[in-house]
Amino acid sequence: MPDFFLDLPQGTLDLLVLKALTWAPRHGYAIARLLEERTGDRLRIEEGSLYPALYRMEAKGWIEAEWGESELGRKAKFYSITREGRKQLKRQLNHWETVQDAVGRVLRTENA
Amino acid sequence: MPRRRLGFGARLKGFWWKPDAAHEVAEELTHHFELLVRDAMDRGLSREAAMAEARTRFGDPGLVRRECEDLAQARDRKVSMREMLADLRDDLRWTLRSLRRSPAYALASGSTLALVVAANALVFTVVYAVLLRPLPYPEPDRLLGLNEGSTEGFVQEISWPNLEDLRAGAKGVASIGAWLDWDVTLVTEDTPRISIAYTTPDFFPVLGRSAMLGRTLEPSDEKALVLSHGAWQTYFGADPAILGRVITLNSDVLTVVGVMPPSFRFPDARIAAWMPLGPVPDWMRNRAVHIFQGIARLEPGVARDQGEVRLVQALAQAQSGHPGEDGPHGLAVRSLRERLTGDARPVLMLLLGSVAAVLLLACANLAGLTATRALQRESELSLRAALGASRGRLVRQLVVESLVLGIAGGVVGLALAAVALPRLLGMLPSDLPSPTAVVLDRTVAIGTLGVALLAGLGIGLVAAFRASRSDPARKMQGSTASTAGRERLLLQRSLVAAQVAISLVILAGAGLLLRSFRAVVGVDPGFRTDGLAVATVALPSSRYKTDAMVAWYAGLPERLGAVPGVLSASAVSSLPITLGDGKGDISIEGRTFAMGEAPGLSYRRALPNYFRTVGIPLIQGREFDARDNGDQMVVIINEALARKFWPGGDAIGKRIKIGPPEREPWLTIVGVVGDVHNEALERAVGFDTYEPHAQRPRGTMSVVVRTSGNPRAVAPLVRGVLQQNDAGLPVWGVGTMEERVRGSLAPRRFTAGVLTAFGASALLLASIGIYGVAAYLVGRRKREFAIRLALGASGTQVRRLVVGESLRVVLIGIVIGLPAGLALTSLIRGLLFNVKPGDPLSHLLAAGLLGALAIAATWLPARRATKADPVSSLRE
Repeated sequence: MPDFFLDLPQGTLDLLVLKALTWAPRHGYAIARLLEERTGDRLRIEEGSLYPALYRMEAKGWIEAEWGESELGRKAKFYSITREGRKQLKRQLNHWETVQDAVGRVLRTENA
Repeated sequence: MPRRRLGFGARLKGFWWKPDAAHEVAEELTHHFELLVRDAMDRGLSREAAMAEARTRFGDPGLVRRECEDLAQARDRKVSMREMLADLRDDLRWTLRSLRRSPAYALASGSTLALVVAANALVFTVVYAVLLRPLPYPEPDRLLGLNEGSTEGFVQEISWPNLEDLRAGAKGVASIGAWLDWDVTLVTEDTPRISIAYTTPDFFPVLGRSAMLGRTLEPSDEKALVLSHGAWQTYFGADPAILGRVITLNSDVLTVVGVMPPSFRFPDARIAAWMPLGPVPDWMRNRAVHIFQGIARLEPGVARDQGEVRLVQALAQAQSGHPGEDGPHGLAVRSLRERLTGDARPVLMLLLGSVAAVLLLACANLAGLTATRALQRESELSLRAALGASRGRLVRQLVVESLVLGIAGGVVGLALAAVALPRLLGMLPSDLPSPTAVVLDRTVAIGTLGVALLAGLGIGLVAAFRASRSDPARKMQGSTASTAGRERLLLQRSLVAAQVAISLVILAGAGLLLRSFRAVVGVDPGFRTDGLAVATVALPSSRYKTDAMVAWYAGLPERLGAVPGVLSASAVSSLPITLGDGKGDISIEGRTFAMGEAPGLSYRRALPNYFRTVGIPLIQGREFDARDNGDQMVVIINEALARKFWPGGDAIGKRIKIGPPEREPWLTIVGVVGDVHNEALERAVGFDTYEPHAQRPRGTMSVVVRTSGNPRAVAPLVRGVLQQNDAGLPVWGVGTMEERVRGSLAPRRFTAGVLTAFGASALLLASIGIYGVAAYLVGRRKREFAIRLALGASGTQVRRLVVGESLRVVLIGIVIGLPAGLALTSLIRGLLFNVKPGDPLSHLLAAGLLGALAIAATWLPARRATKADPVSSLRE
């Protein structure tokens, strides 16, 4: 287990969840695992942030949930991304890249 | 391992699973926790260690759970709202499309509803103003109207001594005020006659309203006057500087001290001003002189019935202390509203009940129409149902459609009512008491829209109830079965029967009122109403002393006789078909009556030739003539009085007194004249007496002029003669006797007319309903009829079949409606004249009319049934 975790900026978790759901519908635990794996376990998804984010996005209509049977043989909520969610993802992605680019330019500058 | 896609089984399992927010969150978080444990165990940890690690990782699960629950609930609210709005939008779009597709249906049902709603709004506006809107006085529940009873069971005015005793004796009553209304001439350019109220100092405090301009009357006021808002506008152009202005009423010079707000109309809107009664003259200080109207305000905390009992007891006690001063009639205490509107209640309730019945009928009619339309659209609806639209959704669509109609009908109806209200106000009987203004305010508007909405909902639900029971598979096969639709028209037929029953009740009521009206018109008034011109003139006592007054009137018949076309002229103190001058108990020489046994006599004064002029036959003795100059006290009585006490025909020469015997002189009977319905056509003939004008002079008299031609043409000339030498003399009520008789019938004509209009509307709606079902039926059974015709049935047989089926339904309606009508019309017994509520003619005529109309309404569809071309309709 890594000894430090990245602090996620506001809204970034939403972006990651939406991205994770573009590949397939998943339940909450699977989303968390997937994101942690893809970041090489450098990112720790807090349950306390993940689930509220899921409910919030569900209310906004970006994702929708369906009850299905999980690998444990239990009923679980499987989330999938909606058309509205994909639009949102695209918007946030553009935004993210713009910010990243801008911040990167400043941070990479050696001498002013 | 996340699964790429939900398998069909996984979907199916979750399909019916719809937990609430709390369960949903708990389930999801537990699931997450268990996976954490499983993964930890996969890494080789023991179950205990894995659970401990998961717990540490999870942190405080309660906090997460609560946050998620809140979010889930907010989400559910938002989602259900969104779904509802989306559904509603769909339903509305569907409704508008389907209404646009059948404009005739939309227009017919929409305008029916609008008209009926408008009628309801109008009636409700009046009923609300008269019977329901809170009286515009503080704590109106504590206000009571005080009158005295009478031996005849009528309510009469209260006398001054009794008022004073009530003031002194009744506990729990904060104050008692009284007023008496009077007609006076407002001395301005066109000398209008106005009604004013003389008030006691307690009058305004009892009512508790303050003035809009200036102040109300105070005990110290003597020559002061408070104007009504209406009078201030009409006669003084809403002059803002009116306060302090000096005006003249008759010969009284008064200063305006205040103007009341528009809502203050007491006792009714006729009263133009209120002025102090001033010192009470001696003649009013008589227990038998009933001329005041009382109002009382109870003290806070005193229950109404308790206050009433105390008032009644106080008067009983006062009267028992003065036996012989007046009859032993008690106090008549009513709530103020009842006192102000008592007579109007039955008529208004009748109108409200009938207009509501018409609304109900229209709803039944439209529900039937909508249900039939739903039947015709069954394949459309069934298709939608088969395609997955839920039953609830279909029902809702029909209801939304009717609600849209209801709203449209309500809004349009309300607008119609607002436009029609001023016209209705002009038609309302002038004696309709309205303690508050007749205006279409917010309460009435909201009530009307509510009723329209309810009507729409009701129509939709009934139609939907029908449609929701249709069977998709059968409907989509089309209507090829030859007897299709027989049992399924049960609802429509019940609705038609209901319409027939309701219209029967309304028609019977209208019939009874019309027959009463005819009966009143048919009453022989006892004099000749045709060819008579009338006018009323008042000689101000300031300018005409008694002698001058007598001389002026003595010469009047001759002056009027000079007008071309005038056959004879005279004058009377109170015209027939108005209340008399007053009433007094009879005393007969040589005869004693027990207290309260002596019948009351109405009295009038007349000039010579009065009876000949108006056409009242002289039975015995003589008319008044020039001899009757007041030297000899004489009286003429009517036949009813003569027959009562002198059945042998020997009344002439006998002596009687009218009123308090200690004050009144003996009058010698010199003539007996025919009976006249002096008070009103529908009031029984009473005991009438007439005295010569010169014997008991009075400034105000009504002139009667018999003309050879049209009295309408002579009437204006009468005014000229009256004002010949004194242009300032107030003259009013110029017209003909026939107009006055017609005017006295106006309330009855109004009620009968309105109810007849309702009855006609009911009849029209019901026949449309009957036609609709018959037409639909014929359309559906064209095949059957074609077969029958092809097999040799005659056109008459087929027609009889169609008409017979309609008649059966109508008969059921009549069987229900007749007893309902008999029961309900007994409620309007008080409004009838010489007709019993169970009058068979009215009820049977109504039933016959409906039956005839049913046949007429079925005739066209029946004809169409026989025109069915066997070949083509069998091929269809």
